[in-house]
Amino acid sequence: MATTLIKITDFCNSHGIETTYIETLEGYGLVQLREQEFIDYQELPKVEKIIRLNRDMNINFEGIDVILNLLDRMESLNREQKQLRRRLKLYEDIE
Amino acid sequence: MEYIDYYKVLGIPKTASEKEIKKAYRKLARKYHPDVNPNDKQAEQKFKEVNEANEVLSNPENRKKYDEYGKDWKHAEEFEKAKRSGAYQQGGGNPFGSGRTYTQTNFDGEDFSDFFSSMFGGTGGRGYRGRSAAFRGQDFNAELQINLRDVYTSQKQTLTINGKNIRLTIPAGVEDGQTIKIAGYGGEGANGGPKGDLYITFKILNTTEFKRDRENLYKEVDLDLYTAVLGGEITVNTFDGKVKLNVKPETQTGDQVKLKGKGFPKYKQETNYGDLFITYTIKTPKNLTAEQKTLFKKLAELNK
Repeated sequence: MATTLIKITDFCNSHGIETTYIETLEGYGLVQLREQEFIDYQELPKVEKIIRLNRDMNINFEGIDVILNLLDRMESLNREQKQLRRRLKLYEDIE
Repeated sequence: MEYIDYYKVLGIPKTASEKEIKKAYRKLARKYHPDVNPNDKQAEQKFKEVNEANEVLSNPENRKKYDEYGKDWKHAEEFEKAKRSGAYQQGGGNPFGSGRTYTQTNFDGEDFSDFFSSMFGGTGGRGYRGRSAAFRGQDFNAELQINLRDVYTSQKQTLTINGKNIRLTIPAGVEDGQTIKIAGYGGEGANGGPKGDLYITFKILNTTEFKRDRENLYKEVDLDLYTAVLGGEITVNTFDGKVKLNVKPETQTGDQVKLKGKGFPKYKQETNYGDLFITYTIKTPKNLTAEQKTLFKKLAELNK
């Protein structure tokens, strides 16, 4: 499947941020760039989440990295819990 | 429409200073921010309430109005303004016919309660923006309730979302709680940004006699004592019809037999089916006749 690439300058203009902002994110390993000029379309939700966490809540990039890792862990725990609940349903009538 | 105690929402006294309001708001907004509470509808609701409370209490004019009219808000008719209509319209009625319901939620964190709208109009929107995006369009989330029988085979459906028809195939074997992404069917992007995505979460209602774990089905079957002891043939309902089943002599309660391929289709491998597991429960006979009792006594003697 072809990936849509988004020009960093377009993205930054729309958000009212400098392109250096995105470069900083790359420096922290928070986002991967393509040929230093583009962002993968698939990465946009994550990048916009990072911008919100940074701007809305004044969380620095180290903190955001920690949060994203914790959210990933939370998600895998949720998945596991869902699976366990489904198996438990075989033995008990739970909702 | 209910009165909302914004001081209570923020957990502060009516005498709170601007600084205290700001502090309480920031703390709660951090706690309930949608980005750190993914897929949590309760947190999403709290986040909206907290934003709304801040909208009123952090603005001296709004706060004054609220304090004055808040308690008698029903008489504050002059503030009644055109209510903001809901951001989403289902449109097209229920696309799934009876027995299935379809709900949508949005995540923008900026819609206000009726109480707020009647007192302050529908404006606002300072503070944390929640999920609003400035480039990529918003993601939409929808929940689809569907009966277990309806996911036994793949089905083509047309959903109407925001007046737009989306044709989609619900793959057989979808699981309860599973979310599928339909790329590009979310909100419009801004400044040429791409559209968001649509996420559909399936809630599968199971009113059948079968329990399901992924592609396997489970069912309990009662056996009378005599068939259990001597063996025999019984008829069992599977998900797609009846089958004849040989019961082995001396079957015990809890014994399980596997009917290969009589389970549920595997997700995205429709021609592959799981198994049906039958667990036996042996029913001891009741209301024995005198003759039966005598015979059981004989059996008991033989066992001594």
